[in-house]
Amino acid sequence: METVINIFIIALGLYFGLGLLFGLYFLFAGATTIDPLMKESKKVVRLLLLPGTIATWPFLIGKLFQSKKV
Amino acid sequence: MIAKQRKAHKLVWLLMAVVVPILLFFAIKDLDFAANIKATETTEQFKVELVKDRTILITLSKPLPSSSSVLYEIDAAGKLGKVMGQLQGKGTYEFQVSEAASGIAIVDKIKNENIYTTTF
Amino acid sequence: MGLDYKLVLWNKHKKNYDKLIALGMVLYLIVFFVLSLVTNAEMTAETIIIRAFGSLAIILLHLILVIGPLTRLNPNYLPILYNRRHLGVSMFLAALIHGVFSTINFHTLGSKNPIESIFTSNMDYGSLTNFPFQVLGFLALLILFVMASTSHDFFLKNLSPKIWKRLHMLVYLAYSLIVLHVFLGAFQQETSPFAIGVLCLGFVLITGLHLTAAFKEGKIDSFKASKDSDGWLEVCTTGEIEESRAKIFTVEGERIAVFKNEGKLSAIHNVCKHQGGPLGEGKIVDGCITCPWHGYQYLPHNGQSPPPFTEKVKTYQLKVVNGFVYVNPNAYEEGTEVTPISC
Repeated sequence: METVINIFIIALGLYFGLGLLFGLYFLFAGATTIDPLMKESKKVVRLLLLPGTIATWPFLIGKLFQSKKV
Repeated sequence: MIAKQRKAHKLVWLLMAVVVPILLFFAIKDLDFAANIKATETTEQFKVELVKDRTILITLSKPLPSSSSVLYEIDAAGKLGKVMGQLQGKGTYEFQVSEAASGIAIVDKIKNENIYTTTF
Repeated sequence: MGLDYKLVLWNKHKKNYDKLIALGMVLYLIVFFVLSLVTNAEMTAETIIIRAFGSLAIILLHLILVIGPLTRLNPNYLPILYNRRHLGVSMFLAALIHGVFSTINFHTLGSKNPIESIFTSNMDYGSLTNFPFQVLGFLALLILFVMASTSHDFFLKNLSPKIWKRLHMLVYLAYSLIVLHVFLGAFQQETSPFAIGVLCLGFVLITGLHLTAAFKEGKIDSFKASKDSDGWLEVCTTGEIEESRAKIFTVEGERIAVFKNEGKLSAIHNVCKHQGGPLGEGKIVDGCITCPWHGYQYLPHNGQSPPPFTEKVKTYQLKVVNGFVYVNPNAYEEGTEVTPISC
């Protein structure tokens, strides 16, 4: 059980850590390419969106790659 | 919502209506409703619990009167071993004891007094 | 709808709604603090904070969960659905304060990492009666975090409404976890039949409302209209639809809304592109079909949002024969122009 818990906590930490890195890139650069509404959006709005990006980055990264292929 | 989502909602709630009450029943089936809550509250300043896997929980309901309260492991020979940490304000402290330890002790290092000792 | 993302979309109505939420929360906290101090003067501030915010979060969660089925059972409740999002974020914040204070109070003082301590202070994972309740609370808080942090139109659009809705349906799992968290945690120390009764009643109410609404909607979905020789479905008579309003029908498993605007009929797909609101329960305002949930608008004759907005829904062909309205079940592409028919 201890091992399962340790793996879970490390995975959780990694998930949020990677999410933070991706989130900063995505909100200040990447998102503008897939969502035209982001172009005009202010910095505070981007910061407000950061926690959500950290939480759901695997979905967003997929979308970013898809749009780059097209 | 579309028809699929409505169906999913219905299934989720039907499932919850069955599963959650069963789990809730097991959660409270051993509770003693007649027990007087006040009486079970400990008047001691602290409570030491040994939970599984050599984890120790120490609950301080008031800060200890000693000026320094250091938690030690007691080694196999019955002597004070590794320092595990300090107890300061009230709250619940959690420590992991090593395999070799035979007990724990809380020691006031300034007065060099033993406050509490227990062996497993 | 907009040309860029705003921090918070507020209007007069939403501001009043938010003021009401904030006022209600503050009042509850004050009453809780005063009552706790009166009934048990020895209780520490941390304990009161943990209990006050925990119980506040549960009350808000109940409120959030009854809004959905209530609006489906009675449209008069729609105004409270309108800004449920802010209620959800407030609920998360209350739960977060409860979680942070509990973690500081019970899990930061030892030598272990506090998160690890949440998971390891009770290792009775095999037990139903002594399951580690903090873990349940922690997992519920994670779900609530995902939901609260994606409560913005940016995520609705970029995650796609489908994934967004799925993520937000996790609230039901969070609710189950939270009820168990309270039963395995607080109720074990303070065995109060009153509190247990209230929470059980809450569960019965929420489950009952959701199931009632689900069965009611299921009936509408199973509606079978009679077909004419061309395969068009007879749905109603022209007189059954009020001016500026719609009737909703199920056509080949999809709901469509037949609107009457200035005496002419138009049919569009019933599902709003924003959050899946029931367009047919809305009214025509200034010539636009207006979603009852959040006010997104569409033109009746082509299913398009008026410029500069870009949302589009499917449109359907109608005909009137001897006062009966018929729908062609084959939908047109989203945003296709269909001339409204006179009745």
